[in-house]
Amino acid sequence: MNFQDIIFNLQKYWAGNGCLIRQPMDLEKGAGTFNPDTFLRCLGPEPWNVAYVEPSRRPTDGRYGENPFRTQFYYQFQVLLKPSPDNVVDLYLGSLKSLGIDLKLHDIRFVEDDWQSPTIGAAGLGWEVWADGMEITQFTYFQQMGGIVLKPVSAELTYGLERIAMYLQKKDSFWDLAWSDDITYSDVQFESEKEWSKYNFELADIDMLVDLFQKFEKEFRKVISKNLVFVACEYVLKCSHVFNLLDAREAISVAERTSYIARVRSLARALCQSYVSQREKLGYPLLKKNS
Amino acid sequence: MKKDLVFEIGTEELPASCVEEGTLGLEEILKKRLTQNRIDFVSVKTFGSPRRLAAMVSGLAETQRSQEKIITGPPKKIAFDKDGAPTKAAIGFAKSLNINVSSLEEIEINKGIYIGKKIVEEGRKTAELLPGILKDSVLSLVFPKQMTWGDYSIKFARPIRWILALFGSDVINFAIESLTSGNITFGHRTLSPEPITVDDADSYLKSLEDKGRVIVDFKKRIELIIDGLNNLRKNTWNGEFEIVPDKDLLNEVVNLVEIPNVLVGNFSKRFLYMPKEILIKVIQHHQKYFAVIDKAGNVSTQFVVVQNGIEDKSGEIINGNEKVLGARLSDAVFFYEEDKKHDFDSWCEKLKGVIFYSNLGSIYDKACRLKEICLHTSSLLKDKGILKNDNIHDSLSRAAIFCKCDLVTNMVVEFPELQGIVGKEYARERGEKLDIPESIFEHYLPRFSGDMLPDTDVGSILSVADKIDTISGMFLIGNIPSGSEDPFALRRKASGIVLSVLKKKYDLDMEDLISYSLGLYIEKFNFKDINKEEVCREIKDFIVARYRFMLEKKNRRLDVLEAVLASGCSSVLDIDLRYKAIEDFIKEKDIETISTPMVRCKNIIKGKTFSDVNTQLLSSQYEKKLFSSATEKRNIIVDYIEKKQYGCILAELGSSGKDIDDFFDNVLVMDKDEKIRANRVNLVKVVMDLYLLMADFSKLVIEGNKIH
Repeated sequence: MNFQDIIFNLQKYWAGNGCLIRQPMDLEKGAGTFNPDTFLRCLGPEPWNVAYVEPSRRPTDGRYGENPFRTQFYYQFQVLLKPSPDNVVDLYLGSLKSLGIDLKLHDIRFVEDDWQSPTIGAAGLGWEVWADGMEITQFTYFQQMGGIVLKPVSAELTYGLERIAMYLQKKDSFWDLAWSDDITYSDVQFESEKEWSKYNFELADIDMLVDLFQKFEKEFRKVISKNLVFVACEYVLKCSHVFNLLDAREAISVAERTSYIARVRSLARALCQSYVSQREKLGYPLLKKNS
Repeated sequence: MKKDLVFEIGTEELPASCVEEGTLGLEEILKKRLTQNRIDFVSVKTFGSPRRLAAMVSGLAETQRSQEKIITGPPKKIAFDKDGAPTKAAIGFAKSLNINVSSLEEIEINKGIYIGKKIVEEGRKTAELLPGILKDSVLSLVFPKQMTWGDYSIKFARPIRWILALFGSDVINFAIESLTSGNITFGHRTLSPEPITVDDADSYLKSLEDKGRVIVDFKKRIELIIDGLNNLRKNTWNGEFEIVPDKDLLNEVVNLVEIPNVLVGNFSKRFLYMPKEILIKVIQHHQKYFAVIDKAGNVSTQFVVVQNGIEDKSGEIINGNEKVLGARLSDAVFFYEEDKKHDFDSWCEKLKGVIFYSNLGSIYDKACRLKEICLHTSSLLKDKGILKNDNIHDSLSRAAIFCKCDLVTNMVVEFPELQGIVGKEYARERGEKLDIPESIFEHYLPRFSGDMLPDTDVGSILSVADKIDTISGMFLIGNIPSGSEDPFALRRKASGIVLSVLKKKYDLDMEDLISYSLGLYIEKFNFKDINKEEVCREIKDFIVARYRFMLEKKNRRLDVLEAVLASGCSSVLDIDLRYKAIEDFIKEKDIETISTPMVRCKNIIKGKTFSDVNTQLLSSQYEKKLFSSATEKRNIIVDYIEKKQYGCILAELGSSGKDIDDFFDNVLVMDKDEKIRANRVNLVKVVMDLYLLMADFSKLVIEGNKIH
């Protein structure tokens, strides 16, 4: 099954199981969790079932395209089910079947892996899912976001698309994956991976980034004071990405690191609280839709 | 009448540690609740696997034991008048119980005689009580990390998906939010996905095993894994290979599967050039595989996977695992090769940028402090003749500066569990000799309760120094453990100090060492409002408290420790030797031959002030004798202390009683003449101090009473 077919199958499977299929957000971010479709929608009482592909950037993971499965840019397939249904694990296993994995022939394991993201004040409990020893999905029951305790609890399923493709296509490297039947992953991603690795590690202008962080932080304060929640969300993401770039440039000492993380977290908290009160003021429209 | 009860909490995949904790917890709670409810049972056995915690109560009584209850009314005096006729009070009370006044009984309680009625409360049916008991057991189970899920409010280690509760063949019905109990269980997630109906409690295990393909008994799964491994050794490997034993790994793996199946895989020979211990850790740690070694102890290219019961018909499962391990090993090779480009000097440079803890400097600062503490310690030990190795100063200096270097190697950044091991291997590869590589590994020991201790002198001294330094720093900035809070594991570190010092017989004055360590911080950083002596004493008490805790755990006498501590000695080894000497003496001889005379002395001089004894004023022969024997004994005892022959000191003290008794029996301390009186008090003080050189024996509890 080629890379794009994996995406088609997952989209079709989750659409068939009641998920809204959304498209990626046009902004750099470290994971699908940062997309407001997860970041914000997991808050509050409204039901929300969604699936989308999310290009994700982790500048420090760049290896100039020399590592077979570690890159600074990759694709996640993100599913958020809120509230998490009682049969959520069976639903997940169903999605593996839809990818052609015969569950009676393969060793699928749920290995404890508790997740935390101090930058956005988020925490959850769950597993990494192994297929014959390979980690293919991160499965998390969100307990907290932006420091707010969540009720109801959402289940977040994050498929590592390249890893699943490696597993299905029996390949040893991202670069050898078939994206379509005649175009490889390397054909479309390799040059950009090399360039970005060089940029992230060697060229990104540190002074500019430090300056940008401050400006984005300031802009956040301005827009959040006007209750522009979705605009504010983007400034949190921008700060977070700039911080990741500074980290890749090794421009942050250990002590500074802690203070940068605390700064992003305080933005995330303010954002989440604003979102919660905005939905309350709106009278939780999605709650009515469901009933 | 008795029946068996089976109770199963069906969950999503529990972390391995929660399976163990959950089964222990369930057993405890069930036993407690059944006993509290007066329901007799023969035994409670618990089982667990990733998707369930279960309990089997055999021989559970079908009815609760009946209970006699006494309802007391008014006092007899009020209930009956002078003539013995019931008063309004008695009549009213009888009415409230719906009985005749004549059936009231006299009941004697400590307040006097009352009237009342003994009532036998018949036991209720167990089946009626079980819903409450079982529901409560689910709600009472606590895990270190808990979660909620969906719309539920209850907390558990992972979501609960079903509850099975059968008393004999009857379902015990109860509900927790929208979960309801029943007679349905689920087997292996992929091999037996359909629900399974269990007929009765006794067929639970068999139904799960036959229909569900799940072995819920932990012990049986362990046996299956061990059988599988033995089978490999005998039949596949013909005794040429064996797995690297790892009990913790086995105990974890057994709770990651519901039916174990052992498979063997292979990886490429090209990884074998890496250091053995790094190789083994990479194989074991993340993927939970068993490493395999040949007869000579070399790592083999084989590894063992314990997987969840799927027959690997096509070989795809083992191929998948081989690929994953290959990837992990390539990662390790990549980091190993990157690290080869560096040496300890460049890592030291990097350590300068890594914060040890805010306000406590960098890790490099720490390494420099360790060097100073190590050199200080080794000088102390050399002076005492405990250390003889002349090179130890050089080795200690290098080991101290290098011991934290591996923290900034690529290998440890990627595989943090390899800290210490990587440092050791890299030191060896870079030509470090003598005990340096070993001590880099050893200085982290003990890593957990019951772990091994450093063996080399360099490793032991460095290990003690590292722990003293961390404890000193944390106490300085107020990160002091309290109650169950000990985020920096300072208690474990303090225990490590005690154990290492005792193992190596290092006679080290803790106050000296702590004060030296505190001084290094105070010198460099700005600790203005710190009372160094006070912090030093707190830390010493903190370390001694670990020694006390070890005695307590073995149910040994704490009064003996208090007696020893009152002598003011501050070396853990010394405390331990004195403690053991007194303990031995108590076993064989009468400790009162020592404690009684000492207490006598102590009582006489309570609240007095002292000066030197004036020999001119000693008049009676008993005084003179006591003074000369005390002077003589003092020299002997000081000599024994030097040699740490505490048994001999006790023998000396044990034979001092007669002179003291003679003195007290024949001489009046409280003489009319003030000078003589004061001189005699001074004499008694000299005698008492003799005892105090060893311990304050008045703190010993003799036959249940503390003597004063």
